[in-house]
Amino acid sequence: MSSIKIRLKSINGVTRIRTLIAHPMETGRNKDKVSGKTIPAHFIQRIVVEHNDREITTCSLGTGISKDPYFSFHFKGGQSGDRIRISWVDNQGQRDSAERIIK
Amino acid sequence: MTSILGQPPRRRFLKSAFSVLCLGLVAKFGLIFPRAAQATWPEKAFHAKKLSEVLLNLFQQTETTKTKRIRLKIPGIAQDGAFVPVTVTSTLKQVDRLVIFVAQNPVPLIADFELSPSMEVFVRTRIRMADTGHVIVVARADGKLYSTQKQVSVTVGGC
Repeated sequence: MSSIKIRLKSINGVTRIRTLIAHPMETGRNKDKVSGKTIPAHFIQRIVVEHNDREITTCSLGTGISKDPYFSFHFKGGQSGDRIRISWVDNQGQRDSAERIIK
Repeated sequence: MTSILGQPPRRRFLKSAFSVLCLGLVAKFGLIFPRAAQATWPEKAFHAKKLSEVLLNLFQQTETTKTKRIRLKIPGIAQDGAFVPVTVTSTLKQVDRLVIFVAQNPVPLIADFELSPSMEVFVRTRIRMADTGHVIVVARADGKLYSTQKQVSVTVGGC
């Protein structure tokens, strides 16, 4: 299952994009409670939002974003049937993407 | 002298070296990796401790004008520093970048958003805060930097 949930809602020509990404967003300063070892940093560095293959928002993130990041953006325009794609890449090179069609 | 593969070793070496080089070039220009990986993550800005260093890294300028035209919606008291909801909106025109900065965090730069002209100036997310202090938002509008800030009391730090 994809790590990304996307919700789209069009109101008066504005598309509200909401996304929730399942990711630990480890800062690299937390210790494992059992082993006492430091958990290595593991966080999303870049998120790209695309509308029909055209980038509309890009984000650079650090460890200051909460676990399981949530974002909301307002996109002007966007017709019914258009595609919104969200992709992320983290500091360990893992990546994922998901897309959803505007109703 | 010919090898088992029917080619002299030197030619075989040159061939494989060339194909490795080609692969490297292809990877470099992003033909293999998807889009998210192409643009570089501003590592220096995320290592910077002061707002001026962050701004210099991201925008090559440090001068900001305080404005009331950026609205920062955030609770005055945050019970849990691990999840502090933040909403940024603005009535400024031609905003193409938004930066969220929390000075007392171990990594002060929280996020840097690049908004295309087709986006409304609206960003909502959840951030971490280590301690009570100011949350600062800097917006770049028409090439100039504007900022606003708000004090947040943090009950339990979340970094």
